[in-house]
Amino acid sequence: MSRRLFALVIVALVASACGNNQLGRGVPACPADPEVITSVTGSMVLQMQAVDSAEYVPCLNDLKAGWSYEDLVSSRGKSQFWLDSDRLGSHFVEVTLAASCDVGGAPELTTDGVTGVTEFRDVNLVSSTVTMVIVPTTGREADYARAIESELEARQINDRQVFVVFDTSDLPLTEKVAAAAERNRPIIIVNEQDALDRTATLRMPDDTSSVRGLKLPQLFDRLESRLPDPSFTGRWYRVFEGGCITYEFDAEGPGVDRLADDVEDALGLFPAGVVRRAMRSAGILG
Amino acid sequence: MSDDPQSQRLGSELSGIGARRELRIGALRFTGRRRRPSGEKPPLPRELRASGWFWIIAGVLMVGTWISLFLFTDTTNWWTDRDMTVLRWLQDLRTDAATGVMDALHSLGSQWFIRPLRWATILVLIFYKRWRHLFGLLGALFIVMLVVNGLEVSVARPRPLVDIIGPWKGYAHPSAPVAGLAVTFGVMGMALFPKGTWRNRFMTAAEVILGLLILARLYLGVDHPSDAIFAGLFGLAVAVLVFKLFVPESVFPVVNKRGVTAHLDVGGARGAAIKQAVQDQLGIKVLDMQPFGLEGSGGSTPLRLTVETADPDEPNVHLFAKLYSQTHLRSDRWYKVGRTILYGSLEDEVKFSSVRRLVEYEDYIMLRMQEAGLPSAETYGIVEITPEREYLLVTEFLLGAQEFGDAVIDESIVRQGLVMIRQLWDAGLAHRDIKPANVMVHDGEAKLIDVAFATVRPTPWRQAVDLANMMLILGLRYDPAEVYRIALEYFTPEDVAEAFAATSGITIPTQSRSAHKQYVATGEPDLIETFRSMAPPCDPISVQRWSRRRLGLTAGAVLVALWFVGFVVDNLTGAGFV
Repeated sequence: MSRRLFALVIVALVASACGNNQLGRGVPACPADPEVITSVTGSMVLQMQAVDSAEYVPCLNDLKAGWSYEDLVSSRGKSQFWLDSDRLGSHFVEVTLAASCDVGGAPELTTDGVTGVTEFRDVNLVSSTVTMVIVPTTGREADYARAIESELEARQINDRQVFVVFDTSDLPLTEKVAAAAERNRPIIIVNEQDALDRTATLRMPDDTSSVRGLKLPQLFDRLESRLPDPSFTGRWYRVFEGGCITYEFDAEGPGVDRLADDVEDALGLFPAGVVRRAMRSAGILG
Repeated sequence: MSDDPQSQRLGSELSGIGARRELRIGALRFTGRRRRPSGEKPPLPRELRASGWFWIIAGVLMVGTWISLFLFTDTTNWWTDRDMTVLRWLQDLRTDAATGVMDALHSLGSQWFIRPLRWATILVLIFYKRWRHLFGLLGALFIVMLVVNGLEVSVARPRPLVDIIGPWKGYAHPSAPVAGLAVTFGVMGMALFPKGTWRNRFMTAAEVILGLLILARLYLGVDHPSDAIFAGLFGLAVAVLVFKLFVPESVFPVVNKRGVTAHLDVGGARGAAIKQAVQDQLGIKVLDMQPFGLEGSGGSTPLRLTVETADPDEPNVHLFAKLYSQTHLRSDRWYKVGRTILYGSLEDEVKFSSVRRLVEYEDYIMLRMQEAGLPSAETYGIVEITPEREYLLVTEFLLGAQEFGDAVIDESIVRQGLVMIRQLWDAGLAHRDIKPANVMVHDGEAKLIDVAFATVRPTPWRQAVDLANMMLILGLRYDPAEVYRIALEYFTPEDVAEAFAATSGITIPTQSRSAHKQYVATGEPDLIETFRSMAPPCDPISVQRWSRRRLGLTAGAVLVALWFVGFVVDNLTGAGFV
């Protein structure tokens, strides 16, 4: 047998070995039926072994388009894996299973979830849309204010779609500014002089003073430099008997608004405790 | 042909030697050549020894075991049952005292134990400048790391389903710490200990330590027996096979002495085979054979043969021979890869497909040189030692000749050197390695040697560079103005200008470059600039050409370098050195 043929045979055998249902178990996929032990992948068992007290271990349902699973790093007491996304960045979420975790000051989620699982969330979402408030000081500069609205809505600033609202109420300007800041909205003030000079005054929600006399290109530049990119950062904690799963988010880019829902769909919980007990009673687990 | 009467007679009369019992030409005595009958083994037959068979059987068993472990569900279950039987039995033996001992033994697989061993070995190899062994070591580590990481993820075998009482990390199969320790011991044994008693002792001790680590991991329940045993065998096998294939003991013996170059061992069975083969195939009886000028040769193993003379009262006659093997073929390929990265696609850097082609090419080039009237050593022919694997090229021995750097240089030698280049140009040849070590002087005559790198119909810049390199070595030993004046008797001023316009650091052989550096250090002016100033102005000629092959090779070399840097940084940081 020639060397090439020999190599071919080896490659074929190895490839067929990789196609065996015992293999290709690197992805911690949620089993279709947790009651059927043979459907539990090696990576799920490994996570169960890493934190053998945990009632649940994290698993993957269907991933969204553009998402990919990255690595499973397990050791005694801890197991981690990551998800990558072509839009949200690599390792946009790190999923860590441990016997316990410190939730810090994260508030508890009150909605109904999985039985026996308490959920805490401490996340900061910078939406991929931004709402700005335009305040014309009198009625005479309304046309100019509308022109600014059109300019703003026609463009994206730092990948964020701009929506504009007008505040034409009779409240004093200071109260209008305070109301916008409270809702984390930039406020653009235009008066008669601005209409004549084609300028505007900008007040960012976290600023204590306004910048006056900005020409429109300067206004857009300033908004670009001050407005953060859309992002989803922070942590979720799912705490249950014998363990805790931490989801650490560091996502940036379009798509962050739906991220919480998408992650909830993509990442499930596998009832490890139930399976472990079934394995013990079947004499499989020591 | 050579002017030497002896050589002329050899050329005309050797063809009839097969029909005669004996022939005497000058001092040389030829006896009848013998054709090897069909079915008779070659002088040095390629035979697998016991160790070769052992590793082949071990490899087949490993692959077979691995396939049966994971290819079929029934065999997978069978192995898992066997694994679990052993593990449960060990679990029943657990005691506090035994657990303490096993915990301690388990640290044999930690990075704190393995990495210092690897670094100590690397430092020893660097100290003794045993680069081939060093690359063998890195290659073996790289292969094991790659395969273990790949298998871990694709097999994704969980840890044993027993009470695990030791620390672990990652998937179970194959056991990474066991594979890591096994390959480390394997490369240490192959790279640090000479073949024989000491290596055997070391390997035995290593196997005992490896066995203890495996036992500890099984006792603690972190590995299945099949994970640990497969990993141990795999790590050792990779180390041994990498060294057997790329750093064979017969070519690269383990010698803990600095500056020893690697060459084929010409004693023992190979020595006897060479003598027999030269006798049978050339009809020359070899009385003695010694390595000769090893330090100047990396592409072959040069030998000086003492052969039987026609008259017992005559002094011994010497012949020169170059032994080529698979290792030299590989060296030649790597050399060409290096040249492709350095120069690009201008040169003929097509690799030889076999040792036979390599030696045939050198023999052909020597004949071409002779035919072109170049004063060079005469070839007596090729001798087959092991078909397709080892060949000997036998040539004239320039007895009493001095290297150009040591010889007395006068106008005649300068003229002869320049005429050589003229003859090369006229014959459409380039030597490609003109340096002091390759120009020999004997009785006032200069001869060109080591034509292995020569090429037919070379690129014009390469021919020009031959001229520059010759003028450079002449100028280092003789008045540069005179060298230039004599050069103009054979070349146009534009030829000389082109030669030095194409000359740059990488076109000058290392030996000439060092000699030139020393020359400048003594206060002499830069020779290259001196010749450039004498010749007419000429724009620099770029010898750099880019091709997809060159880009690919360069990118590959950069990746390997980056991997090595990553390996060093990872090890330093991982072991807490940084």
